[in-house]
Amino acid sequence: MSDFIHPGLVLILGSFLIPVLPSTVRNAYSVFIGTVAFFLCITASPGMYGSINIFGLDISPTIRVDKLSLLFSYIFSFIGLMGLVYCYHVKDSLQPFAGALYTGASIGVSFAHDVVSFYLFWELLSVCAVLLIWSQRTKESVEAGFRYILVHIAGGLSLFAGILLFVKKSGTFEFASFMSYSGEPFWWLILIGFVLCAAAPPLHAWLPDAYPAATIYGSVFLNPFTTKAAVYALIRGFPGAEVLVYLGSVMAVYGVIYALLENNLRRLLSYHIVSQVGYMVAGVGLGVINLGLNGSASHAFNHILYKCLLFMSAGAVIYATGKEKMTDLGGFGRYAPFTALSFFVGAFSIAGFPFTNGFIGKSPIISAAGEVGNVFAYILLNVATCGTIISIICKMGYYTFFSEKKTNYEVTPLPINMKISMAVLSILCIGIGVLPQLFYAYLPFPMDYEPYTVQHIIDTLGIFSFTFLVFAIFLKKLSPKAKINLDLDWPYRIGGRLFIRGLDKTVVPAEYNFVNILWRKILHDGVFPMGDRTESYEKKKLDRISIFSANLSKILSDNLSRIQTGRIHDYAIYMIVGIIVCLVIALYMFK
Amino acid sequence: MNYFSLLPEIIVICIATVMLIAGTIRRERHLIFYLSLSAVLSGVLVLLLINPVSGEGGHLIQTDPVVNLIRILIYGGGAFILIFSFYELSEKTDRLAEFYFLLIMSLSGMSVLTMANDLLIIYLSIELFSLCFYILAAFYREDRRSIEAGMKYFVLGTLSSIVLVGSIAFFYAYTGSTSLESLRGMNMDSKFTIFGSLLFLSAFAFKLSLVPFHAWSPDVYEGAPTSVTALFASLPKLAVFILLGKIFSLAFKGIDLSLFIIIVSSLSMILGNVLALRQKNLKRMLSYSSIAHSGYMFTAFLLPEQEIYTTLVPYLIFYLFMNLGAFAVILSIEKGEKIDSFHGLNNISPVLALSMAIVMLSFTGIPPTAGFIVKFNLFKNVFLAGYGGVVFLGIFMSILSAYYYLRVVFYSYSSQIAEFSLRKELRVCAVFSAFLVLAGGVFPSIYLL
Amino acid sequence: MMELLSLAIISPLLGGLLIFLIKDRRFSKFISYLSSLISLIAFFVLFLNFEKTGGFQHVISLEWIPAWRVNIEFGLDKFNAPFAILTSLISIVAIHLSLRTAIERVENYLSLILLLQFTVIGFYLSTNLFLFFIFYEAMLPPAFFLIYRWGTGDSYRAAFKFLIYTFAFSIFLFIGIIGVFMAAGSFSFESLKELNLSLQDKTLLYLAFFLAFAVKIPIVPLHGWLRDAYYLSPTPITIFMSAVMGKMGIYGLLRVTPYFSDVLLEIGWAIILLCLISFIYAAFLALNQRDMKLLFSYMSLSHVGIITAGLLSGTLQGLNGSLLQSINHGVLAASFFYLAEIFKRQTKSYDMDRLGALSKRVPVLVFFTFAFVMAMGGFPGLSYFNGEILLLSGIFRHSVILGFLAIIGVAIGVVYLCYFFYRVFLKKPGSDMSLLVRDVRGFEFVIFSVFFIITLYLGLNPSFVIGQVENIFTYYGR
Repeated sequence: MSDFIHPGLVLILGSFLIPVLPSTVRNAYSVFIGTVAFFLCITASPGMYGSINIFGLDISPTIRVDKLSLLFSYIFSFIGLMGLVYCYHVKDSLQPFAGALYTGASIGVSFAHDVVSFYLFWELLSVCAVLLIWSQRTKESVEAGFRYILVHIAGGLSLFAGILLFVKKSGTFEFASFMSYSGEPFWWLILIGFVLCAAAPPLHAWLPDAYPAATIYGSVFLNPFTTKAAVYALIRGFPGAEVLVYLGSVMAVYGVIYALLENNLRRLLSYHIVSQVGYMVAGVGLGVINLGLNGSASHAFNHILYKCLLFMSAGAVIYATGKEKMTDLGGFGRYAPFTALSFFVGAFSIAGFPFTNGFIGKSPIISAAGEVGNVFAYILLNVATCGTIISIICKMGYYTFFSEKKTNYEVTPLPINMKISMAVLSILCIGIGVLPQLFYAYLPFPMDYEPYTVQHIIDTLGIFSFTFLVFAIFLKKLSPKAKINLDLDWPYRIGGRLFIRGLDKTVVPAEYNFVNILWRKILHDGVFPMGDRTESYEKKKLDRISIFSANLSKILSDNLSRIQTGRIHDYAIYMIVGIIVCLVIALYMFK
Repeated sequence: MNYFSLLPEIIVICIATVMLIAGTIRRERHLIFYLSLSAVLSGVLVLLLINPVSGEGGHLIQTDPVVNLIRILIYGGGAFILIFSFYELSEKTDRLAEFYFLLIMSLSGMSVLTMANDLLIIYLSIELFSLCFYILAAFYREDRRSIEAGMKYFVLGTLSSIVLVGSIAFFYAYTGSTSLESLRGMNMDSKFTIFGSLLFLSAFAFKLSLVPFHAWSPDVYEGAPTSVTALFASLPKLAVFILLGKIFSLAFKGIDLSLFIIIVSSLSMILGNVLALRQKNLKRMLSYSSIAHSGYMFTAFLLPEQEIYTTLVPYLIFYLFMNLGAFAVILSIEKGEKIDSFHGLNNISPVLALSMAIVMLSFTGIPPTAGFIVKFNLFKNVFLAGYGGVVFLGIFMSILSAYYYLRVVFYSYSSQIAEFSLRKELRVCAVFSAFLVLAGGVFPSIYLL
Repeated sequence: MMELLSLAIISPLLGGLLIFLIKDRRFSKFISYLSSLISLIAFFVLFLNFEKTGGFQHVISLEWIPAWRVNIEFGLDKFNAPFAILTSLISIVAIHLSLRTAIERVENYLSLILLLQFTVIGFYLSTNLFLFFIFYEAMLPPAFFLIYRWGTGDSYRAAFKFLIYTFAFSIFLFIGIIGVFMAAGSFSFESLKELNLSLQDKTLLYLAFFLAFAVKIPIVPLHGWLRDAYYLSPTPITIFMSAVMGKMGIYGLLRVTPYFSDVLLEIGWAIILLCLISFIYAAFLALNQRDMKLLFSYMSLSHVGIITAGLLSGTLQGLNGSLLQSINHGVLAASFFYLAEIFKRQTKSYDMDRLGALSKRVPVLVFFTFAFVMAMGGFPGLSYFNGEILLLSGIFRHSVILGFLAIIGVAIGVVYLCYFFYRVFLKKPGSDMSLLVRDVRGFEFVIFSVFFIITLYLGLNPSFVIGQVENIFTYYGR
């Protein structure tokens, strides 16, 4: 291990100091270890390192540094650093602690070569996420945290079971592509574990439930790690699994639909995560050719950048105004032009406007779909792009920053560290967008792809203009409503999309009535009452056993004692009868 | 007739007679007590020092080292009873000399019983000590319960004596002789043999208080003076079991009485334990307990002959001390026969509480007491002989017995305190018994063969 | 070396007797600490100095009953040494905790604890079945008295239930050892190797052993004594019972099971199912508990279920896992009950609903509790995770369905632990009792740190307890 210092471990171990340091030093220290970790990631050299010894089993090597893991570790450590900068002014020690730990765990996940250490880091991810959710310390956040725990435990256990079966079947501990075992039970188990963390419907409900419930700093940390670690795991373990193409495409559209309907700033962004991760998942599925896998990785990388930027901006809005919902906001742009600017950089990036990193990130995937000839994926992914544009740039951007002010909110100025982090990210977004080839060099698989073809730029601009036009026309209809409106009629009017109508009848009620509420029901009506029922059963039945046997002996004793009547002739009769009976039996037996 | 074996009895009876005469002339407690004590102790001494052993061959009585050991125990136990009764009775009655004389006569009777080698001697010795017992039980002439106890014991005891005589006559008619060896010559499978042996055993089952001949025992134990109850609980069983051991290994060898033994002992175990559960009177409870323990011990007769003695003798020895210890504690406490008097004993006399605890643990059969070792030994041997069901029942009943035995212990250690006064002198006896019981549990190799 | 072992075994007995005879308060406190400490150090030194393979080592043997070929023989081997150390450690903790609460008649109490410790150590260290049985029974009177005299509420009934349950099922142990004696002619453990019985007889024999041990662990449905006995007895005694006496049953099974692997092949799945049902059932019981001590009692009941299930899987991992997990569980259960006692002492109740919002007030306590909750939930890096992996892989190897059942139980386990943590520390707003809670200091801190360090150490280095995972079956001579 001497030639490789694991940045993840540095962060994990270092983060334990954070809660005990005095508040003056604490945040500087956290930024410091974030920087150290980032530095270590950048300077790490490819290779295999390390070995661990568990229960007499030698597992070696445990650390794998190659292009794929390096790419993810760069972005994880970097965004962790940015997150720590963002929450520099926070007095609470739990958030930077959990954030640093979370970053360290994700780095650990990306560098893990054997399934054991992979699993350990994976579990750590869930723990940190829950801590961040709970750091909001409201009733809502606590409940959301519990639901998060349950879902992730289920996923974790599924993963664990799958790993055990895998090790038993294959005999090795190496975490590499599982595709040669496709179709086995453990293949599905591990896939479910990963896919759950990637928030694929129908296992996605934890994400829009938990992410908005955390603090704004928590959301910044929460959004990049778990889902992208899952994407990394999928790239590593399931490249080219066809089921992922369909799953991802559906995810992409599904997330966007709900993002369109949402009112809460952060929940909208959370649904969006589902959508964008859908792209990545689809890309993994298309990974038969390198384009898809590279696209997935690059999209993940860039998505982290602009999504965090968006969350940071949203967080800034919430910090400044105290309002979370678009129906309470509006016209914020005139108070905080800087925030608005960062937001729109992020928004255009996510939509994939040329000269942003979103453009160069997303297009490989769509092109891969085109090249493979998968029409389903191609259409859905493009549709989702439209939806993205509408929901984020148009709806969120307009109604938060530009429309008339809907309520009277006060504006607090932003601390400088938040502005710094947002600025850095914006610069990066544009920077990478402008210099794609520099970026592509870091991708895991060699790729020959030029995003800035004339054709492509024109296509994209076309989509954008059309969407803006639609938005401007239907401005009023698209305005956010305070309640979730289950039968909004505007979707029906956009070019007769029966498709959406169908969804509205089936999936919308499904989402709100069943999927979200169902598992709340399972918990509250199923699991907890079981606890009560078991206890009352125990009290009623089992306690009775001992009382019953005690009573039985008492009754037996009392009744038998009646034979001691106290009268001599009774006793004598017993004796004589006894003798006679004995003799009779004896004689009979020995005939 | 080997008179030499009777030497201890002769000496004991002589001194006792002297005591009686002296005691009736001068009614002085201490004189009577010390004379009686010396009578009994001289018996012990003679046995220890001289250890008369008779040779083989058809004598009326026959002793060997094991039998002598038992005789020593009988007399030793008798000494304890002497001490007990001194402290209990000596102020209440002026007929102490008669009491002691009867007591000593019964001891001699039991001692002769263990030596008996002939049916008539058996009958004589049983009658000897039984008659003494009947009178001793009724000793409190003013107490109705005591008289009732004596009466019941007398009537029912006579009934069993009749049965005994009947069986002796039967055997005589069948074999033409009353000696035990002649019984060996009987045809083992014939109906008559079985008939006779069952009658014979029934008479002894009375003395041992086995079901269904047990009914006298609770009432008699409860009514008699407590030291007499102590006597009834401990010594007769000792004598009778040894005699039966002799009979089973010599005379009844070959007769298949296992069904009878199984039924009787099982019923005794069940009845004794179940009925003891609700008893608040300790003397009654101990009577049921003795029914149960007789039940346990009776199963030893299912064993092959060489194991009978090795299994029974340790059990009997420690059973004796357990009973003596328990009664010592009961006698130490005023109104000790009521279990409620035991509340908070630990606060007043931790020594007594601890002794009682050890004794009760031993009755139940919990290590590290001797009671555990001997019971384990017994059950193990019976199990290995093939009678698993009986063993299972026995253990099950032992578990049940934990309730009533340990209840006494719990009361002694509880925090509420009953009002009572204490008779301090008997503490020594209690401690001595408890100590023996405990030591027997920790060093079993001394007596296990 | 042999003297060291004798010293370790005798010292609690001597201590107990000394205190019993010399009833002086300060003297008794001193002696009780001293004897437990001597015992602990002696065992620890012995443990460090022996190899974890092979048969019994450092054996002391005294002739006792030649007629039955039974000697007083104690020996250490890989299986009982960790338990012996655990027992000594836990009794020090229990003694310490007892002394911090005001008890009447401290001298009797301490001497009973030391006697109890002696009998339990005797049980663990005995090398033949007869001694096994003796100590199994001998443990009952001191335990009974401790629960009855110093317990709260209707402690008489609680103690009695405990006594009757355990005593009743000792019948089966008796049958078991007599059966072995009948078949193999001796009481020693090695004679279990040469049991030439038909499979049916062997099954019955094994069931007898199983029933006797199952009541001590306990396994549902033989657990009826647990609730009252754990809850109503003083917490130090609860710690002792949960951490040490329950493990007596597991140890017994650990000793006996490897010789009955053919029986396990036939009926193993049924008993494992029973243990897993116990596991899940108890987890449900714990789910809605608002009373801390009861919650931990049920938690204890639950976890020993899966430990036993792993043991019965008949696999290498399962056996090692149950050994390791017993030690881990002992330490963690002790820490949880200690925690409950701290709350009791400060707020006079075990009620969780009256607490809350403590995370800022008592950060050190929160840290420790969080660490223990994480550990119990199976967080990697802490001791419990290692045991869980071994147990689960053992169960999975036996049957995948049962493995899934186990996993469900684990999930529920995490839920109630989280609820506990939330209700006590995080819930806002806090209730009235929260104001009374103060942070750990002094000795409490030391004890928690010791537990934490042990948990951490065993998490990172489980081979300290179980050694390399070698083939146990060669150890047992197959």
